[in-house]
Amino acid sequence: MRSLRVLRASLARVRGLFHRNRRERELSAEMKSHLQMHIEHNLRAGMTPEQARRDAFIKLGGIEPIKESYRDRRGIPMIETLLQDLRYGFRMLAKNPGFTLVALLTLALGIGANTAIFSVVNAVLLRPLPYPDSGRLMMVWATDARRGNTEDVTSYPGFEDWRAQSKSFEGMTAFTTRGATLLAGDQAEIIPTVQVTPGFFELLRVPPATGRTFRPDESEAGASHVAILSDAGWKTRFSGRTDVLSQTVRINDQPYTIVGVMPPGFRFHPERVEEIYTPIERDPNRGHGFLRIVGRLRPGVSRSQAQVEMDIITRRLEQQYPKTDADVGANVMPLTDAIAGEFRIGLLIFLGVVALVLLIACTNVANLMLARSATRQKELAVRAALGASRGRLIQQFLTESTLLALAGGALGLLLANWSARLLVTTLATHVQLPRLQATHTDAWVLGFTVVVSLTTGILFGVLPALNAASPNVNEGLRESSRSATESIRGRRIRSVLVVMETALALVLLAGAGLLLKSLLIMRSTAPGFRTENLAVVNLSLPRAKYGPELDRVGQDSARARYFEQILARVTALAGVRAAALVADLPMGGGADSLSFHIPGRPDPSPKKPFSASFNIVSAGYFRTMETSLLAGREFSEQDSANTPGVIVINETAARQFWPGQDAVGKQISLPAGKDSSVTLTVAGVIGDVRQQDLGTAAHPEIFLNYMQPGPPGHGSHSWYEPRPSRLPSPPRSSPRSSPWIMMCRSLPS
Amino acid sequence: MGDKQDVWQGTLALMVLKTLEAMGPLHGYGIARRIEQTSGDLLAVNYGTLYPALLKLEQEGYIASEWGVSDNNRKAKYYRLTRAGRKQLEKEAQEWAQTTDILARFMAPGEERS
Repeated sequence: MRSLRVLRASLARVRGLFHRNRRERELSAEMKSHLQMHIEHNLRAGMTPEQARRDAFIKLGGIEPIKESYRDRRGIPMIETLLQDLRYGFRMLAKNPGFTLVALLTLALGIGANTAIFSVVNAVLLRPLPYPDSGRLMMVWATDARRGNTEDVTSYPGFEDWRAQSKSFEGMTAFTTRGATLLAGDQAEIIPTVQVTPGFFELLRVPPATGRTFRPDESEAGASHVAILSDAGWKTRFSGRTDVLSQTVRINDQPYTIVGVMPPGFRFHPERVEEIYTPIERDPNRGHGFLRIVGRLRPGVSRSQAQVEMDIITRRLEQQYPKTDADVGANVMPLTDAIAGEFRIGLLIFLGVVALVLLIACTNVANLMLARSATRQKELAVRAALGASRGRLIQQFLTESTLLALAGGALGLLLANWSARLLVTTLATHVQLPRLQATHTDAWVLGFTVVVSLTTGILFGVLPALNAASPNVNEGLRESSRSATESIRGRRIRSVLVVMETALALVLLAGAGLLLKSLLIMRSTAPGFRTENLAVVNLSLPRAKYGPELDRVGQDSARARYFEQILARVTALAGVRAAALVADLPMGGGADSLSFHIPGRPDPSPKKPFSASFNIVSAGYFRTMETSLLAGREFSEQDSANTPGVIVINETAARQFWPGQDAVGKQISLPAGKDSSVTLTVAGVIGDVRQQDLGTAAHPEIFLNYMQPGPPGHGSHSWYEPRPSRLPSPPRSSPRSSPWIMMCRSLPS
Repeated sequence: MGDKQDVWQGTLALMVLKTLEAMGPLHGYGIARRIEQTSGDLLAVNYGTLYPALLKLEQEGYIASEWGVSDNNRKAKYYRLTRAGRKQLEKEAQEWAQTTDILARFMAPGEERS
């Protein structure tokens, strides 16, 4: 009953906020009729008209106070005050268009930049992945303590052990990424694909848009080839046709039957949008890491609990398989973070930078407001003299600044909408960052903008408000005729603001300077070859026709003939000066490592022979790359299967393995098979080439000639130790997945 | 006029409701006059509190108002009791009677109770 009454009264008061003018008129009319009735009554009682009026007015006791208490009862005083302040604020802003425009633009830029970056962060990092219950999805990386790699790939047997032994996960599944050659008519194209273990889609709980997922038996060796299209693959390769099921695509010259199409938004390739999924064939080699593992946590199990369990499992495996699993651990990471990869840090830094920009904008606008409050001394003095309290004046000022900030935020949102699109398109030309395209303004972005705007309004409004709220009434009123001068206190606050602004700008400048410096260092760091006029062509030859990619070439193999032909044809092209082949692109981020012995010298430790990165190149490679030759010679067309095996090493390798000696003519031996070995002679020493990236120092590196037979079994895993590339680039360790790369040097234009 | 008492806190609403029940629809001035007359001119209604009190009663739904014309052909806002107001009046009158009754027992001289 009582609550009903309160509710009814409250509703009436809310209604009282509207139709303000009509209600005011009614109140005035009521007061007027009251007075007139009172006067008439007094006249009837025999007073003179003058007396009658006077008595009526005295008894009513001042119309304005009555009206005021009536108004307080009619509406909600707090909101009424706010509305009044807002109206007043609007008037003040409209009266100073110059100030308003400058402040508005400054704020719009600051808030807009923050909103733009936040909308990208929101899309890439914050929004849950489009998989049911995605919060429980974890990426389970391998770690390699020896190399300091915390996001490494796992071998197939390793994956099976993890899956069988861990209790923290409902299930685990694995995938790897590969470029595959898609044949359409006589056109061949290397497209990004993802290979998955059975149960991959089931673990993610994403059913295909059409068709079915893979059956367990379809990943067995010799099973019929089946493929699932991604939404992108379906749209680009089949223009979204509905009759794709049981159609055939030729991947790596093998027919694959399409059994399903995944819905849009399903994506696992870290760099490019995959077009096709195929089943992974089991690889029994424990030393061959190529899998990335996704696990779904059991309900109620935390990430750190799973991490503890994985630590125990990997330690156990380490003891069980000391040869392959030494120093291998596990790293459980939310899938959202894993998918954003190294962009996570970059985006957060970017967000920090724009926050600094906004802070500078804040101090700027605060400064402007302070300067303006000097000219408002008189107005403030009058209001204070009429009884406006300090709190009331602060409220008025904060209302104005918040109004300004919200308007700036609205403008910034427009700006962000446009600049976020620009940012996305610019970023997208460099990297196909997962979920980047999903950047749009949603409720979270809107909320972010509102919160940032409000905070901004209070941040830049509070100092001017405090300063203005205690005006010197005497001074203010007296200054009426003179031009207003700023108080000492106002000047002091402004100096503080200027200092703050300078400090913030310095921080920004220092950050930008550091960035520029590392950029300059990278530019001045010689990559070891000339990048100008150098073109890169990826080649991928179908295994069925040409054999495993890195297998011993041999002089009369189909592959050798193919390469010979293509190099001859490319070199004959007008404008091409030189062309050569290489297995691993310099600065491509990865290289496999080679273990070898040096005849007549003991190994560094009983179990571990010498080791260096290796790469396989064709004759003329160093000439094409314009790498400096320090000693000896590079590979020539005369080096063949029938001539003694030769290698070229880099400067670091020469210094490390034969310090103080001439490396040319020295020999290494590669273990090949059970009891045999192959001896190779150093033919030349070249300058260091950055294989990893510009930020990483050069490693010892050995170049093999692709025309010369390596040890028997070259191409299987007997003589080299695979090493995954620096993630998130796809692992290059699988020799079958690594296409050949042709470097073409054209003439300077 | 100085010896007149102001209307006691909290009783104005009851007086307004009772007056409207007795007199039917009435304007603000009329209500004030009526209260003063009923009190035998012992009470002085503060008009400054009367109008907000009328507004409050209206917001609570106990009275309703509409513009009408007075006996002297003057436009005036007339307040009338609603059904909820009638109920509320009954309830408050009862409570008031009880209160005065209790007070009266306290004030009654010589009647000691065991």
